[in-house]
Amino acid sequence: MELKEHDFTLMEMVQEATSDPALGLPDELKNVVTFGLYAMVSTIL
Amino acid sequence: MKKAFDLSEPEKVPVNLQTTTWSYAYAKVTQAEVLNDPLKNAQAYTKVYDDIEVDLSTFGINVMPIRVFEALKSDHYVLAKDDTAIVHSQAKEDYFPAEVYDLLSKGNSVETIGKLIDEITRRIYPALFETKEKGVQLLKEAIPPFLNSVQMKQTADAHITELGIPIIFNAFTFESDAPFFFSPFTMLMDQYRGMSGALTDLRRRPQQVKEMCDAIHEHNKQTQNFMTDVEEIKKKYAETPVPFGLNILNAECFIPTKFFEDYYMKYFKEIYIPYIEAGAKIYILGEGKLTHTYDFYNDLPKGSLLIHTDEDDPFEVYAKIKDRHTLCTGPSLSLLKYGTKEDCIDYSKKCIDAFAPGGGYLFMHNKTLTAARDVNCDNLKATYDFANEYGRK
Repeated sequence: MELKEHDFTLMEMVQEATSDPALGLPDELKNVVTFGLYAMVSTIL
Repeated sequence: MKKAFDLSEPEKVPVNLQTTTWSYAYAKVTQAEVLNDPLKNAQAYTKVYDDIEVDLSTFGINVMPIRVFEALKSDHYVLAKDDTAIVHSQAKEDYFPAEVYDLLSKGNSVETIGKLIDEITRRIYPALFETKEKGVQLLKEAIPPFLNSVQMKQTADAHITELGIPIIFNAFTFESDAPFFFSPFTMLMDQYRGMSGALTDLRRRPQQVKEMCDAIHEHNKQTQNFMTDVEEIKKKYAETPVPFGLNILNAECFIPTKFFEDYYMKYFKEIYIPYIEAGAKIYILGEGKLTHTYDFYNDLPKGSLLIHTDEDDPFEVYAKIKDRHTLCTGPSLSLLKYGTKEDCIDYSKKCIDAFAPGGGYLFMHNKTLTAARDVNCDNLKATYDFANEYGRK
């Protein structure tokens, strides 16, 4: 069994998504969403 | 409560409610009906706490944000057929083959665990990781339902706090006063190898299983900031009357007694002893039959654990842990669903009479309330009303 190397990370994608000006997230909320969404997706339960 | 858990007789037997999505059924709605309205959602979820006197809540608000999973095109959690419970699609999961153990010998084992977790995440959310562009787009679509879920949880959490009900494990912030702990073997079974794989491995390759558990444990220690300095933990607990930790036992009922110390207790003690020495009470949420394991907890400090029973005979468990730890038990969901009110009250009286004298007893039902038809709501209300009244001195 081999583990693949990947070109991009979850955090990179979350940061790019929450930084989209079209979403209009204020800076404070941007941090909450970035870390909250990242934590939700990356916590495997 | 503190008196009861310190094993001295309290003025009242404390009662606990351990509910997740069943709370919607109590409010006579389905989760689907209120899912898109955070305020109605919070109101429905907390109605049971308005109506029934409870001293403690295991989870507070514990609802997976199902619309976020839908936006990310993952079926890891889906709404159940009753439109209320949430199904964890573990049976469909694509677990690692037995060769996963060989990876540990190929390099840094902690780093390997990190890569395996990343791989599991990619399997849970396949569409999210197809291409970066697609992943970013899906995440943007997941933000509105994520914010909706945060608003619901903040509102419901504030209401439960307003009612003065302490929460053992805040499923909103994913925190408890002492850590939330899944043992490495539970993680191996739930996420890496599945039930049949992990249990076969325990017979055929116990040493490799142990090495994997050690690596998972080391990874947890490096990534989860467990505290080890007792004085520092005491400072953290300065304002907390009863600091709780939560350990959910998933796989432990399957660990043979001869392996129990090495494959579970050793990790449990390493994480929790400093917290226990600082005054924490660890709530052990049992799943399955665990009577054969309870002797292992008796060398831990007196009064440090709250032991919740699921399918065990609570009278047998009491014989093993009385005068050592708190027993958390009461009527089963089956009794609350199929019995009469009198049956439920008679059994609750029997439990209170047997377990409450001298403290060390938390009254509650046996399994987490999840699906709409898990219990007869009238029976549950009558039973809790009785326990609140009868449990007072």
